[in-house]
Amino acid sequence: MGLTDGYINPGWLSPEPPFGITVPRNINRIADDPLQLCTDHYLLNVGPQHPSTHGALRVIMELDGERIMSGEAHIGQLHRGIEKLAEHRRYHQLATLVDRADYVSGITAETAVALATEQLADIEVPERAQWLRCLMAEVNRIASHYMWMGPMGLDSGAMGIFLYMQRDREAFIDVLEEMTGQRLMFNYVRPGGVRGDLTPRAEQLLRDYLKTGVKRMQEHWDSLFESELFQVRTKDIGVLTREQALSYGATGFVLRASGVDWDLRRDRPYDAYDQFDFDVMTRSNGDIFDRMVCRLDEVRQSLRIIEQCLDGMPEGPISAKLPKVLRVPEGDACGIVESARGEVGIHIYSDGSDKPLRMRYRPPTLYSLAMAESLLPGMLLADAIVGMGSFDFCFGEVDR
Amino acid sequence: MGRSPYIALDNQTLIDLVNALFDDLDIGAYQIAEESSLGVVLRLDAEDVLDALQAFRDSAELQFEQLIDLFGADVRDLVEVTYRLRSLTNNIDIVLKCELPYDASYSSVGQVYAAAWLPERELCEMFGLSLLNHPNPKRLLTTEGLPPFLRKSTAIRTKEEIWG
Repeated sequence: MGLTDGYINPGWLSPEPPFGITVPRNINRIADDPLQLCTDHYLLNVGPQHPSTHGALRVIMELDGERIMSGEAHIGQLHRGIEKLAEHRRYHQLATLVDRADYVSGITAETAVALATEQLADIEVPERAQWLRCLMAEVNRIASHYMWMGPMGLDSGAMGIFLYMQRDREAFIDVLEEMTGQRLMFNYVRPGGVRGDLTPRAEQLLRDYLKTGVKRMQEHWDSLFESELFQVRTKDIGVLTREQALSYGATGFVLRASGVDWDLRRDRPYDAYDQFDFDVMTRSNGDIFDRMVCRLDEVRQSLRIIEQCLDGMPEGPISAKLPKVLRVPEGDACGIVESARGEVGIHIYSDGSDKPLRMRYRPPTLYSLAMAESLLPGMLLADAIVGMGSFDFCFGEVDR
Repeated sequence: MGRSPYIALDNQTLIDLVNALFDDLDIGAYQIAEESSLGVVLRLDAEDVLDALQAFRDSAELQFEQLIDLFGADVRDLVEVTYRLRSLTNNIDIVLKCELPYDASYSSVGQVYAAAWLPERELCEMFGLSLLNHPNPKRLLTTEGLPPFLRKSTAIRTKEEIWG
């Protein structure tokens, strides 16, 4: 959409700009059409406390009326120096730190740390531990998807769906609490395996949910996605083309909503993902609606993986035998996993001691932030609020 | 169950293709080898990185469509900058590494891969490099006047904080 689309000359304006009006900086628009209504551009601070910024994002927007001329994201309000702190932690303690990075889906980041450490130290992970990691990652993924979809309803004007999503998220948070003792900062996945075995109550909770899971998804579809008001707010808005998505380093659901068929769980299988039967859901338009549908479809696939995990969980130990203080050989390794928001990559440099020389956390939503910034010019302010929300920034991991 | 539609290129083929590609380019000394944990790693001079990235993106055989990650590390009094590229078509990653001295200037690669715009700002802020050819070369995460945090010489606490 061009910058001047949506400006309608009502016809009763005098051909000359009214006396006393300030000429906007973008002088070309007046040269194109002298009848246009000229207003001052003004700067608007969105955030860091605005609810739709989903965390501590501050965007400085230059507005012409309701239309955004440019936007610049200011981040860092949640910067805690996690990468620096990791250089002062042992390998077993890194999981605690990366939990605080992506605080909504911690299991996947923990898995990435574990994978990188295992590559460096050449550790064999027992099969049951791999399956438990997949199970917990999928449970956490659904909880994270619902945590995002509910507030997206709020952003676009639907209140009720938030409550329904929270109800469903609670079922998965209960499972995580039963298995790990925590509702958010799990500290569950360790180098060499996991910390706790599948309890009978957790299995019962999951089986109970699986009986009604698809029916509940249908409920969400009917009440939010089928709503015309919601579709008007989200279809053909914030469109990210396939080329833009590739160039901006999009991963995860953002890439899949733009029509690229790519999922690390299928194309670079880690843990036990090569043993599950699931589909990679893609959409073609790359707008807000597609990003949401893509994630709702993924919930269905995650439910399938959970069902297969529960049915086929192999017996055996849940962790490899490791020394209390893990020393890994010199070198660097990278563990990549498909998180709820995209690819989380943990790159660890080791100097042979018990602490990493450097740990890099690749935050998928830092790259999404650049995409959102590039989409802002030309959007309406109200659309931009929904548009920014649709990338699901998690500022714990953007700022680290 | 191994249903990936992409056929993965093997590492040796990738090395051969990169060598063939670099024959036509004006690239200085470089090393390419398979490293056990990272896959194929290409080490080259910092001034050749932009040309190499451009060639990787535009090459019809390699098709590295995405820059997945860009970051630095403080190793042996140098800043080692790492670029991780991915080809979805060939289902393979390549890691590019170059080394820069402290306080050197870093030239942006954002015009080749737009993914680099934000991580570059973080890299230069965290390692005290000066950012060139960037539309918005400001600090990303912290405010002006703070030391480059990820250098080994920067302690996580100052002496005053520890000893009062």
